[in-house]
Amino acid sequence: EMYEPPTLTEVGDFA
Amino acid sequence: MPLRPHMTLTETEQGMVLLDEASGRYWTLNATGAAVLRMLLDGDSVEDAVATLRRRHPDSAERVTADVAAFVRSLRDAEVIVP
Repeated sequence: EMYEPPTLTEVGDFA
Repeated sequence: MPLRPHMTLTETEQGMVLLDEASGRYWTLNATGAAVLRMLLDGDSVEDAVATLRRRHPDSAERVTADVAAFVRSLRDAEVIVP
């Protein structure tokens, strides 16, 4: 709907 | 533009989650990021993805090119995609 800049956010370490 | 080996993705309500099964690192993408990555994985060029976003968001067209370039750089820096 509204434009948001594309983002990639590292969440952490799954293990 | 393929994903690196061991990388899996899951669509979510907010966008997408990427998991590197080899290292355990994982990332979230917002809806725009998920849309751009999906286009790239489907074989679109970066320019194609920019053009699609510009058509969807004509009011934000001026910033789309720089935003997508920065996003693709972040994908490469994180080693999510094969350069």
